[in-house]
Amino acid sequence: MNIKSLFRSLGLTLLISVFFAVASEFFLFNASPAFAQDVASSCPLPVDIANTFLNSECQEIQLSEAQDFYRYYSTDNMKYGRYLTTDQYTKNVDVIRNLALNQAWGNQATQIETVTLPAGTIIYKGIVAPQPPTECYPGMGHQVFIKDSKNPNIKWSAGQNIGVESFSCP
Amino acid sequence: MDAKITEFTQLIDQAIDSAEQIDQEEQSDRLDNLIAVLKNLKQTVIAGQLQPSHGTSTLGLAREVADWIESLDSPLLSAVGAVEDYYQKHF
Repeated sequence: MNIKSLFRSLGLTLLISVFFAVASEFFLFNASPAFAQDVASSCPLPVDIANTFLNSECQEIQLSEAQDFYRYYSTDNMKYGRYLTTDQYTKNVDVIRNLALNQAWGNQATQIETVTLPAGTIIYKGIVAPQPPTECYPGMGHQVFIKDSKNPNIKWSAGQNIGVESFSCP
Repeated sequence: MDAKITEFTQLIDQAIDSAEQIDQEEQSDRLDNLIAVLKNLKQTVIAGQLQPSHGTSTLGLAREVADWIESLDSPLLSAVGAVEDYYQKHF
């Protein structure tokens, strides 16, 4: 290989490197939340909130249309909040176990409400982590987090009673 | 006392301090309950009765606070987040 072709080869390599560097910056800069059920590989929430999901894993999803979610509560001060679920249960004890509602927090999950989030809302969806004692609160239900529960376009239905059984934890 | 328990209870104390400094009329009952849970957690830790996390269980502190706290940048959320993080990494 003579000097001329060596320089030509180096120039071409440099040109390709610059192209890929600029292209990757462009795609990163223009990255947007996943739509519908597209999945992001890691939880893009601050670590304090990401840690509330099993293994700190969640998916960021932007709703392409209005969608219903559920929230369980037993007193009016817990009717509104940032945590929802996609899971429908008919008995409070199943809610308490699968959503790991440690009874120290006071939520006996005796009522269900439907929460309708408007199109465009960004949700963070993952699995409920267990809480100690894990034999009482194994989690593993579906957990949804929204950053702004005070969005006036969110519809919070009236609560409806669900089946209530006494919950005991040794 | 074990250094790990000392460090953990210090983080719990910091979370209690942070909670006691919050001036939020809305959800004041949930704030009071959080302080009670944190104090009870501290006693459980000192008594050596806290079930291990195995890196997966959470204490539910951050989820409780993130559910109702006005701002997600709140120092209280960071304080309980530090407790959760220590629990998951060291217990």
